[in-house]
Amino acid sequence: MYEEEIRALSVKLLDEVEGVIGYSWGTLPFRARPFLCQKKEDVTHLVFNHFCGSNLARYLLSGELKEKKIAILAKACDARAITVLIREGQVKRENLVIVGIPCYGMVDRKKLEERFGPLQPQDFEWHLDSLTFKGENLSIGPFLEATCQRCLHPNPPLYDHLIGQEVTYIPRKRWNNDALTKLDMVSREERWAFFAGEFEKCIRCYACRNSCPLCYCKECFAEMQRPYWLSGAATPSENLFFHVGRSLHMAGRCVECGACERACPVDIPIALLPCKVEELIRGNFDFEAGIDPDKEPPLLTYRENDPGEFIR
Amino acid sequence: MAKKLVTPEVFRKKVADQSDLFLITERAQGVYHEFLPQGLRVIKTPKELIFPEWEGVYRFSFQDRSWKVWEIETGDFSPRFLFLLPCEARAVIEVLDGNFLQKDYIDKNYWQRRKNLHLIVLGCYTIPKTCFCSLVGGNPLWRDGRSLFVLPFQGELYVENDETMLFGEGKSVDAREEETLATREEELKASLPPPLPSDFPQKLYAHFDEGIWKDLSWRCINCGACTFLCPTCYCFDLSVEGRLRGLTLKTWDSCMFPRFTLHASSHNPRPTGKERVRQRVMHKFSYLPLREGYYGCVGCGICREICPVNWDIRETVERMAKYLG
Amino acid sequence: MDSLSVPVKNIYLPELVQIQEIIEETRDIKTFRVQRPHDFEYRPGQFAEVFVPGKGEAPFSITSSPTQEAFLEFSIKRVGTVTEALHRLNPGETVGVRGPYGNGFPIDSLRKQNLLFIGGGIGLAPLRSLINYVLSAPYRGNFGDIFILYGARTPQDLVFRWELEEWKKREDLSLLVTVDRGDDSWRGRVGLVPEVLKELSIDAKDFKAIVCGPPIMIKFTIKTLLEMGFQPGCIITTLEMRMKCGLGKCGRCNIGPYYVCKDGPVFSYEELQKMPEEY
Repeated sequence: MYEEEIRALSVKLLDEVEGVIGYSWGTLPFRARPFLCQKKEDVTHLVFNHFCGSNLARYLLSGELKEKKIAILAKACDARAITVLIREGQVKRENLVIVGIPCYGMVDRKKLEERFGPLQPQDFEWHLDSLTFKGENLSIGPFLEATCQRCLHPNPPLYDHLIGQEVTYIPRKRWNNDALTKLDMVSREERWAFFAGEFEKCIRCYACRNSCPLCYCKECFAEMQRPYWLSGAATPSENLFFHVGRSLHMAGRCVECGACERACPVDIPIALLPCKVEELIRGNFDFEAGIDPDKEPPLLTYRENDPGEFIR
Repeated sequence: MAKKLVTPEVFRKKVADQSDLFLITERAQGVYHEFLPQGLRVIKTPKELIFPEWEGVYRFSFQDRSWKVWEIETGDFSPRFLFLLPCEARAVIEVLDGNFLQKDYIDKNYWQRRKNLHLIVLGCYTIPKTCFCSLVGGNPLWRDGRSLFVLPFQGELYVENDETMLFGEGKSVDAREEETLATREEELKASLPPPLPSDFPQKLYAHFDEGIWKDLSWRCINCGACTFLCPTCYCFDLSVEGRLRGLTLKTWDSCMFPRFTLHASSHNPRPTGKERVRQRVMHKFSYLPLREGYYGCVGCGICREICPVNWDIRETVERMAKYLG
Repeated sequence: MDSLSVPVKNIYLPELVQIQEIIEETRDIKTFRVQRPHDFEYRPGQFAEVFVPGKGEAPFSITSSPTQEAFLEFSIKRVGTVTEALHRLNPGETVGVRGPYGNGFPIDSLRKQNLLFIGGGIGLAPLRSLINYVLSAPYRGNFGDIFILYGARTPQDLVFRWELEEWKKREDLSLLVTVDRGDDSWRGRVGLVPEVLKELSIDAKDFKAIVCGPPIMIKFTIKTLLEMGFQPGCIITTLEMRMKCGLGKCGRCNIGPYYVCKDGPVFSYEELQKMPEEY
C-alpha cells in the first residue's frame, strides 16, 4: 500500500535527512519489520501494509539517531508517540521529518490462522479496509488486533507530509470491540481472576516495555537495585506488580498503540491495563496523550492551587 | 537398540491411560497433535522443567542471634516423560546438560530435576517453517541413540528404545522396513540446507570488530523474549531476597539486558545494543563451539517466531556466513 | 547423565564464617579478616564469592597469602550495594564465603624469576597475596629479586600502610611508593605509576611484571612495560568483570570465549592481545 508514494518521497527526503525509518518485509510471511533506509537504492525495500505494527517512534531514542535529522514514517499511534516524546524533551521537532500515514489497523496473524488454518501468502490480497481470501472479499475488522479495533484516532495528528487519504470513520465505532466494557461489567473477583491468570504466564522478558515508544527510563523500576521494588522471581504477584506499575507510569502518556501486547511472546493481553487507564483519563480530564501538543497532561502538571480533593 | 512398530490407536491409548506421566512442548504439540490425546500438560520450552524461570538455591535466616544458611532441596520428582522435537532434545542433552552437569561443578538442583525427566524425541515428519536445524548440525530426526524416539511410518509409529514398554509390545521391525526407514532418513537429510562451514566459529570470532554488527543490531530492541524462550539459553542471575530471613534466587537472565554486565563501578563492557547482540550471536555460534565443540543454537526457530521486530538469527547467521566467505 | 555420580554439594551454598578483624585502610577501603572456611585451599590470585546475609553476594580477590592458615583477607572498596553492606559490618559478625575460584597467578612459571609488582590503588590487593606468598620463609628462595612499585591517588589512598612499612624494612626486596598528588606531610615520590616506572633501572630481560590496578592505569603501564622491552608473555595482569556464579555457568563474565571467573582472572598480556577488547 502506498509504496510508490513512500519510496518517491523517501528518495527526495534522503537529500536532507540521515535516514528514513520505515518498514520492510520481514523474513517470515505476514510480517513487516522496522527498517532504517539510508541509501537511495534501498528505498525499494520500503513497504507499508497491515503488518507494520511496530511503533517506530521507539527507534528515535536509540543513541545513534538521537541527535540526527531523521525522517520517520508515522501511523497515527507513531505520530502520537512522537508528539509525547517531543513534549517530554526526548526528541527535537526540528530534527524530524514526519511522514504521516492514515491507518486502517493492523492485522493479527493469529486471528487469520484461527479462521483460515495454515496461512499461504498467495491466498490473500490486501486492501485498505478489506481483504480477499481465495477470491472472497471480507471486511478487515474481525482480523484486526484488539487495540486497533478499539482505536479512536486512525489519522496522524502531526506530520510534515501525508501519504494517502485520511480515514473517514472511527474504528472503535465500526468494529465495536468492547473488551474493556466487558471487563468493567464482571465482578471484581472475576476481574482479579482474569488478570491473575494472564500475568501468571509472564516470563518478565520485558518485550512489552522495550517495544513501547514511551518506556524510555534509563533504569526501569523493575530492575532498580535501590530501592529494590521488584523480586527477580517472576511470581504471579510480582508480575502483576510490574504490569500495574508500568501502567501507572504510563498514565496520561500511553498512546494506546498496542506495541506491548503485540510484542508479548506469551500472548498476554497487556494493553488492557494501560488502555483502561487512558479511558479513565479521557473521561475524567478530557485528555488524550499525543493528540494536542499544546494541551497540558493532567497527571504530569503541577499547580499550586490544585484543590487536591483526592488527598485525605 | 530395541525397535518396534506401534499402531497409532495403541500409542494414543497408552499415553491417554497414563497421561499424568507425560508432558509435551508447545512445538511438539504443533507437529504431533493428531497422534496424541487431548489434555496433556503443554510447556513452552523444555528448559522450564529442569532450569525453571526462578528457583531458590539456599535459604538464610537470623535466629537465636546467629545466621544460618541451608540448601533448598528440590525434592525427588517422580519420573516424567517429555515429548519434544529433536532440536529441543538436542538443546537439553548437548547444551543444558553440558553447562549444568559439567563434571567439575554439578548444579544439584538441575541434576535432581533432570535425572527423572525422560525425553521422548518425536521425529519431525513435517518441518515447521521457522526451523533451520541442519545449519547447526542437527536434522529433523536427530536423537542421541539412548532416548525414546518416535516417528510415523507407513501408517504406524516407529519407536526406538522403549525399554519399559511404555507404548506396549508392538511388533518388530523387519529388515525391509529398516531399510526403507534408513533410506528415507538419508533422503530427508540430503534435502536440507548444508551445515555452516566447519570454520564458521573461528571466522566469526575473527570478525568481532567489524562494523557490520552495528547494522545487524539496529532493529533489535534488546528485550529478553528470544533468550527466555530459547531452549538452550542458560544464563542466569543469582540474587538475594529478604533481610533477616530469605533466600538466594537463581533466575533466568539475558545478555540482552544492560544490567547483565554492569559493574558496581557503573562501567559496562557491553554498553549498547550492538555489543549485546554481538554477544548473543557470538556465544551461540563462536564461543560455545570453540570451547565445548557444539553450537549454542539448535535451529528450532522459536526466537524467529516470537521476536517482536522480526530480528532473525537465521538471517543474521546466513548473512555473516556469506560475508565471511 | 546416567554416568554422573550424585552431587553431594550445592555449589552455590556459602560457608558462614566470622569476621575476626576489620582494618580501615582508607576512607572507602576496608580489609576484612575472616575465619578460613573448611577445605579452602587456594592459590594467590584466586577469588571468592562473599555473601552478606540479607544483602547480596559479590566476588572479591583474596588478598591474604595462602601461607596464612587461620584466616582469609579481602580488601574491599565501597562502591555498590554489597560493598556498602560489608562496610557496615563489625568484627564478630557473619559473612558467607564460597570458593576459591579462578586460575590464580602462574606460580610455576614465576619460579626462579625476578618479579616486578606494579599496583595501583586497591589493585594492590590481589598482588599482596602473591607478594606475601613469595616473601614467606618457605618460598622466598624460589624467587629472584623482587621489586614493588605501588601508586595511589593521594597519600590517604594508600592501602596496607602497616605492611608497606614492613616491606620497606626488608632487605630482600625494593619498594617504591608513589602518589599522583602529594600533601604537606608526604616525603615520598609524586608521579603517575607509568611515569615513575619509566625511570626505574630495570632490565626487562630478567623480570616478569605483575600488574593490577584501575583499567586506565593497567593500559598505560602495559604500554610502558612494552616500551621497556618486556615481552607480552612476561606481563601478567588480573581482570574484573561482573560475575555471579564464579563457576563458568551463569554466562556473563566472558571476554570472547574466555570466562574471567574460570579461565581468569589472571591473564598474560600475550593472552589479552588475542581477546576482544570488551572488558
